[in-house]
Amino acid sequence: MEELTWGILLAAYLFVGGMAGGAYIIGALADIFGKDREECKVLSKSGVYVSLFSIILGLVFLVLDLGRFEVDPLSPLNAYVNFPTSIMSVGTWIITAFTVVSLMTAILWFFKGNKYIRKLFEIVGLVLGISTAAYTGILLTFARGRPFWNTPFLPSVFVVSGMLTGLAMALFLIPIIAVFMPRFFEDFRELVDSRKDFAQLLIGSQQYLVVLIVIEILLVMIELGTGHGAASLTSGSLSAPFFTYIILGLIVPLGIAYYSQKVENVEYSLLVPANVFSFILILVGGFLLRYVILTAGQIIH
Amino acid sequence: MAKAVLVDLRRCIGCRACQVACKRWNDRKATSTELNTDPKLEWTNPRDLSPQTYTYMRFVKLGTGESLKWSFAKVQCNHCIDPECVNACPTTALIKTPDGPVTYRKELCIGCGYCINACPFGVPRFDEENKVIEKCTFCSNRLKEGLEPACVQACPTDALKLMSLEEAQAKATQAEAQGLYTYGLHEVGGTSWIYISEVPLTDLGFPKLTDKTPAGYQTDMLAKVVGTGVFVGAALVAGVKLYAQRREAVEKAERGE
Repeated sequence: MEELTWGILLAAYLFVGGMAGGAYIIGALADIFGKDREECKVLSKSGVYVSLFSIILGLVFLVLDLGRFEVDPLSPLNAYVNFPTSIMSVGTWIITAFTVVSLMTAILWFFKGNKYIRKLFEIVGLVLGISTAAYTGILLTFARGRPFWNTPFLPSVFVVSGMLTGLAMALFLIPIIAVFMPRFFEDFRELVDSRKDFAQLLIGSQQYLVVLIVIEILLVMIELGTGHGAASLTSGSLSAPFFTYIILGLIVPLGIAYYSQKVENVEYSLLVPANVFSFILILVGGFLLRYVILTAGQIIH
Repeated sequence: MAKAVLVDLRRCIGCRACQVACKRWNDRKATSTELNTDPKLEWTNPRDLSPQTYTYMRFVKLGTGESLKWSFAKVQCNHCIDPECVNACPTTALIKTPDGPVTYRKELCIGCGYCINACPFGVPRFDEENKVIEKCTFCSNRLKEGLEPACVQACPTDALKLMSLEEAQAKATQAEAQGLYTYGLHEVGGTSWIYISEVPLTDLGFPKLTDKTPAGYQTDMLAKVVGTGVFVGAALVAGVKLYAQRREAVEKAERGE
């Protein structure tokens, strides 16, 4: 069997890169349209911090995956050179700019900087966040040696999945940060302590989760119907991770999201664990999606 | 002047002289090989390109019994006129030289593997031992000295012939007019190695490709990507709005308003 050029490390990079872009999109939107409400500010901060840590983690995965890094540790810098001919060079510049903007926004949030400067960064970062998440898909779409990837839906799938996983991770981290680092993140603790507001944020966020999941399901369906050799996703060696992604990563969280809103006055002690469980599934699903698509492209001829 | 190689498969006798000459000139190691499990390809050995194998012969059995026919096809980098790998390479390690070869500067390679995924012919390979990309170079160093590529020089039947790109294209166009099949005249905007054959090259395991150049492909694809993105973005906004409205209506109804 042919060896995979891009393996699990690159799937991890596509996953955290998409999540970084998506988390920033969520964070920026929550701040820009949040009408200065406390829970929106906390979600925005959480999203921006997630984006910063994810993109840095992504860069680590990316550099470690480069075949020549161990021989010549400075060689990755060459990736900036072939701009704008090489889409990978374009992506390298986008990710660099995004990392800087994400870092600046995080600093402005953490040290309570000027809110107008922050929002200015967020508008620029919104564009860069969408570009970063879309780039992880365009990179594959442009690779003509892999017909399965040559579909225009991939970048959209990765942006939607990036927003979904970014939102899940941002919400997931709020109670964790509140519990483990309450001194540095007082507003996180206050929000979680005031159970009602946190429950409201979770329930309110579910409507965005529902829309994102439904659109992602539709896009994956189109992808299955139109992609070159896409049928082998449902029958071959990739069918197990693929169906795990569909069922556990999309359908179950959709059910939990629906349930969270439908049931009147869901017990707080049930709402939080159910949501945390759903977020974990969404994150696992996001990684599986990247892994399945990345691998399928390299084995389908 | 841009050089090209015309590969006339009608003249090929499957002697593998090209395979051996390539190994010797490019100092490629011998590697242990395995029998090909596909009965149609059982004499193809080595089975595929590798960092140590810049070129190999495909021995293809077409038909069965009385109508069985052997076809031989040399496989190597086709040296596209506008190469996908050169466009994909983020470091400009891969370059298309004016005299025809698509060659590479190992000191610039970062081992990202994008050329491997970008090449429509599946040619570049990553050498795990030396951590660098490897592929046929059109014997660029020989061309510079006015010599033919090693494989072309070794070919005893002139199935491989070095000529100008215009001449090779003219000969292939002529062959097409005679009802023969070609490969590389139109594929991905044309290549500097052009095949003439009695059977379609896609029957010999060559990928079926469109005529789109990298720029043409990317422009088309980008337009579709942006179109899809705009549509999905609109669906997201509309979805969130509709959902919020519906929930409000349901809540109102439940409260009995």
